[in-house]
Amino acid sequence: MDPAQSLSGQNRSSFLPLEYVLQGSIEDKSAHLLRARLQGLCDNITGEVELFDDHEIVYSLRPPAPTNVSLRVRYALDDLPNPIYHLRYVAAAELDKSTHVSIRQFHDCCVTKNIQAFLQELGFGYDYEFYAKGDIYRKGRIKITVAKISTSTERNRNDGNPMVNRRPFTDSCFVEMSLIGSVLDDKVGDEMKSFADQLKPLISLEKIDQKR
Amino acid sequence: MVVAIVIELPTDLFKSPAEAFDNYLEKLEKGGAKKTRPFEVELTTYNPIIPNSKIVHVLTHSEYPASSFAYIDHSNTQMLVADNTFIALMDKLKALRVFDVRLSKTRVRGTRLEYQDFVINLGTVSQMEATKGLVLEVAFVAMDETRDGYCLIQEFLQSFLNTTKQKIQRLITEQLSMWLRSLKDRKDNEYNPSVTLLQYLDILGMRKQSNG
Repeated sequence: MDPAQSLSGQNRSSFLPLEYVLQGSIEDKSAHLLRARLQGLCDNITGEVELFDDHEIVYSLRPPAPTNVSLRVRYALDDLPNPIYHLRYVAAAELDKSTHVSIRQFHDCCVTKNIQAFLQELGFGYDYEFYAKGDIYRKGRIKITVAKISTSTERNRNDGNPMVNRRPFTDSCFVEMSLIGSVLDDKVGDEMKSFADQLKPLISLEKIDQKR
Repeated sequence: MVVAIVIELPTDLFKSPAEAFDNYLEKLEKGGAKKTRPFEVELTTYNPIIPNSKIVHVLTHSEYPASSFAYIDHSNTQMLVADNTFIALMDKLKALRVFDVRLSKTRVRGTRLEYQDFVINLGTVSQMEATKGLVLEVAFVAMDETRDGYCLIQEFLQSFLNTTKQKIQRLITEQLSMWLRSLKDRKDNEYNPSVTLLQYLDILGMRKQSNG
């Protein structure tokens, strides 16, 4: 099939992207133990661990919007001066006690630099922002990120100065295990849970608790 | 990169737009252009349900199959260029009752032809099975300097449509004229595909610009 036609056909396909998530945290002083264990357990093709340093800005719709919709704009600080911006929508995780993992719908796309002005025109207001810096590990379809979350001392609206003063949010690192699948994957939850068990007792990865 | 001009072709001399389409297609083929593949441009308009938001137009073009272009009415922002998944995101926002689609999609469907360094897209505009007119897009692929490209394409149109330069200039949309005028002050004259899509938006009768 002509590549142009197959790409525009994909556009119309209604696949439902679901993200299976487990989250946890580990204190800074023990983070190196977790990293060592992950390096041993995970896929290790090049021998080097993949690093990331991202800036994420969250926009949400002010009331009287019917639901609390928020969109996240994320870009890598390593890519400056012309970073690729990612726009991401994540729904609230479904409350399902039978599964071991949190499941949530999401939409992700790459956009141009003017996304922030675009969202503001649409009525989305700036909510908060943070920086996340850490490593990514992969095991098959599972992706694990160990990141240090920090905020800036002054609000930095433009993508510019990477030397902005960053203040760590807490004394611990945020760990997230995620997998992208579809509605038909039943075994995914068990696969993630068994991998998470291998990381105990260093860290206990759990479903997203909306109340906290 | 390319420089492109999009114009609405007059169909008054023909019995129907379909006949006009066949006539122009035959003219192009006799002149040496070769048919390559079908082309399609689609426009979807999202109306806001919440009070502070604005109308968003999302366009896709088969020449740029992996992208979607979004424009907000009554705003000074440029076009947002995003992945194909942006449409899924807008549909999700529609499901969340943030936006609403009231009009059906407007489509331009036709053929893409190649003539040496020119790419010509000839198509009929239709909305809900009703044909509204004929659109011709001529792109000169070999350069991205706007003013020179525009002059070259103008010459091509003069010989193809057998009309004077003034008549062609009147057909050029307001958006392209403004873009050309704004380039007088700027050094970089690089054209980009968003301007092509803005011309389509003008022709499809949807764009309302803010005053000043």
